[in-house]
Amino acid sequence: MLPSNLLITRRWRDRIRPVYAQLSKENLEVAKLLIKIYRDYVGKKKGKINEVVDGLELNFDHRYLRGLSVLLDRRCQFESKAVIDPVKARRQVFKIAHEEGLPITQKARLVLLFQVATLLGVTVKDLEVSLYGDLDEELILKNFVSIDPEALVKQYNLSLTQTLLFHSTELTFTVIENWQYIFRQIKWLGLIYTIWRSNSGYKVKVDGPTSLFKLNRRYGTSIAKLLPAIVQSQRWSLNAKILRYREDRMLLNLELNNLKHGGYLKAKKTSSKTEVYDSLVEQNFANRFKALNTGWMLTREPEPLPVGKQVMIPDFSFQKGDLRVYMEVVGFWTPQYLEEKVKKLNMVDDVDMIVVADRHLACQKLDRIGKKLNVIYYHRKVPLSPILDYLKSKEARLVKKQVKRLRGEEFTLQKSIIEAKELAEKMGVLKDAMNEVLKEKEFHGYIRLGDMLITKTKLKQIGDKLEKRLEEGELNLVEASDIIENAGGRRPTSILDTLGYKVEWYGIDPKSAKISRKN
Amino acid sequence: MILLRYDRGSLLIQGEVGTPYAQWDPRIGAFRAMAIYYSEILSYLKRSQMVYRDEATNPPPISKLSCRVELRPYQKAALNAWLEANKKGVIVLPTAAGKTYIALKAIEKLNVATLVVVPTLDILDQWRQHLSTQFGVEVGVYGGGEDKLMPITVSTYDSAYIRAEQLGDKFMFIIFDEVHHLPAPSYSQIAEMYIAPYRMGLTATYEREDGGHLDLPRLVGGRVYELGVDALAGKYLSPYTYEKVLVNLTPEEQRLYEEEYSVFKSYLRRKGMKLRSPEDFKRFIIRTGGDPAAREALLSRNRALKTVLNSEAKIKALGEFLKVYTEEKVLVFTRYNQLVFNISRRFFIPAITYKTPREERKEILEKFKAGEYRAIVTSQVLDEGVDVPDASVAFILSGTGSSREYTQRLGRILRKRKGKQAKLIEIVARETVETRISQRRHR
Repeated sequence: MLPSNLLITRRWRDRIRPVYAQLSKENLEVAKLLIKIYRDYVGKKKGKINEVVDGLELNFDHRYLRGLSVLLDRRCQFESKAVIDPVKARRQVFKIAHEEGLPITQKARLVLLFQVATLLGVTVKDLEVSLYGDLDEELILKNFVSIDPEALVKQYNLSLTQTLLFHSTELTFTVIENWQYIFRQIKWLGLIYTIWRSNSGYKVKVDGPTSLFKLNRRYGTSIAKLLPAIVQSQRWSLNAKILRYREDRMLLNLELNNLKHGGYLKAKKTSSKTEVYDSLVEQNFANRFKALNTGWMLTREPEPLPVGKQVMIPDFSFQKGDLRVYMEVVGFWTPQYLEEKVKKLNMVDDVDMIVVADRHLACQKLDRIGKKLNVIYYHRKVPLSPILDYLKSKEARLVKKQVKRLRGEEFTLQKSIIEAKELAEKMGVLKDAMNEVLKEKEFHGYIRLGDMLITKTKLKQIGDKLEKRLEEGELNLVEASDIIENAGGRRPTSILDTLGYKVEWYGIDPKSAKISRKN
Repeated sequence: MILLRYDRGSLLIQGEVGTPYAQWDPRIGAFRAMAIYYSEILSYLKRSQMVYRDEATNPPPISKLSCRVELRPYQKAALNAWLEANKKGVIVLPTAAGKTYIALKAIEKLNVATLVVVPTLDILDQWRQHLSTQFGVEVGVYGGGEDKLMPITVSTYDSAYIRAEQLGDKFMFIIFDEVHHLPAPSYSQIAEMYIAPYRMGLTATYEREDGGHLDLPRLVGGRVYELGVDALAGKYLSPYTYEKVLVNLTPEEQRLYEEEYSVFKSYLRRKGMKLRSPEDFKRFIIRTGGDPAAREALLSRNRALKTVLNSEAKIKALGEFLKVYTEEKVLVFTRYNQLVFNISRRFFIPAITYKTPREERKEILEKFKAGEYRAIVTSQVLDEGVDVPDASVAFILSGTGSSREYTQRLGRILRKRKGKQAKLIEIVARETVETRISQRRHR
């Protein structure tokens, strides 16, 4: 964030945007130059650095140079050069000066300085240096933590955006990750959100309690603080209303998104790839669950669920096909927290929610809603089996329903080979349901090989090819597979089996496995 | 049943009943109103004989207060006028007329949790001291790194603004010292976000150049009492004189000044720009961002001004005066920090700027009051409100030219003492842009 006099913006009708520093050669050169100045000025006065930066005769917007310099200042450690404590030095000098009479002439001044210096046991020069050695511009640059020019320019652009957001009255944004963190921030910053679904995902609008009464920038600083978390998402877009206090009040639009502006901003490497867990309990559960390969996709902090006027982001979601089950881990809580949570969970309709709660945290309130919600108690570790059981039963119930539906449906098959998985996707059902139905149904012209359907003609075609090849001599499994796959077949071994061939293995190399007719 | 609650700077009226000043907030599904309308909403509910529960105010409990302040007749009149105006409104009195005492009496009378909002840390310290000695209680403080809530609390405008969400329901009485600061886009939210039904504003300068004072009746209440300097000078305030001293720049300074200033002037002439108002100047500054010539002009102008304001001639003139007023307590005011430190270094006069550590500030002011120091040089921070009782001579070197600044600085030396004759002396470089700035205030 920068002082607002360093803000550079461009306005176009009712739109406004920060003038980003392009990552051009020139801009990076300037950034490099400034970094070099700071490196070279270690051991010199802060006032001198400011002078040098101000005096740079470059063909650049000066606010850009100043802005970079403000960011670089924050990477510096300054210290005072005073030999004795400046406050003490001043106290002593003022005291003597008032006793002896204020020195009007230069000579009287020096005499007095000498007198005080002697009294304090320092030289006149040391005393002069110490006298106002604690003023900002007198401080000495002691240490500078360097930065890569590109990172600096990106940080500058991010700061520029935040500085503009100081003047915002509200912010509307969309992201695809970081939800829990962002909503925690919103709450902590005292903002109010409104959430709704749009074509591009969930949209969230934030402003503050008093935004209702008049446009004001009170929440601008808080809004600016949300920016880094938003731009860290893989995909994001935002729209902020910027209030300008000029001769007349004006409300301008700031619109940014990852495609157009992400490249200028993303200074920090996102750490979202490595998931951060709230607690060991959650992490431990996720690891164990993933190791099981259940076919359910486990996601931490899935997208938000609107609950009445509020939003809830469950800790986990399990997903398989269209089936979605959420899970909320209730660890440490206060009665008030729990009450809020229960109230929220009660409002979740049409959503499958498992609540796992620490048994040792006496969950009276959770007991009461136990019938409506699935509460699983745990101690230390979240148990897998009841969760798997629940997921399985969910799945079984759905499969049953789908089987019933599929039985009554007409199948139009076009391809000569089709697998249950594809068919399930096409019909929008789970694979298990499809398999079930395939077993029962007869499909004219098709033969079922496990969970695959193949036309009789195709099978015959492959059979003919194999027959022909076998006449020429010995055939191994690798070659046979190639023949089958070249003819558009899949799953060679089950086709071979159906066609009446057997595979004789001699060791583990499929090249030495021989194909022959079953007797 | 209607429930009235405080929510982060506003009132929530739960129970689906709209009241005057309230608006439906679709974000949370309840009626919401600005906290400033607390008493209006309450009287509406009472008049309508509605059943309601009021959980909006959460003031810390307060014990019985009493102080030994005796009010002068005009102070009594001011207090009565305020009491009659429903305990709302602004009292306008010259600096040194004892506005603080009126406030102390009002606090004693109301005996409710009170917040005093002040513009600077020095004034904050001063109020804290007055309040704790008069009432014999510990005083809460917000500002300057402190945050402590007590039934009687003093806060800076900045802290009161930033903490409005947390502090807005804690006080029934709010006093705005130097209330002319209040009608700014940010600070006015203090008035709007605090519940306090009783409100008092204090100032010597009611009018704002931007017309902001027109909003004061809504925020604190109207002007309930006013007296000017002339009504009190002599009897309650020291008589004073004003003198303007023109000094010539040294030939070298004059040459440097003209050289630099002509660069600036010729830029304006080339562009056909006229700088008549602060807005004009702002526009010029904005140009300096992208236009190197404008930037060069600005730098030249700054160098020219620097020459004038750091002029050896002026500092010499100040030295001459210091030789004359050896028995008086002296304040030196200037607009620029750099000049403050130059003067401090040159004459060994203690300096107070916003950069001065708080402890040192306190020490300097105390020693000045005790007579150990007889002079202080300062930038804008001491303009307002701080008591420097015996100061009788004030110098202005390089001011901004606003008449508010003039009144405030004059106020610093007007506190009555027997036989005191206050002097305000302005030292201005002849034939420079500074002469014009000085003329501006006497329009």
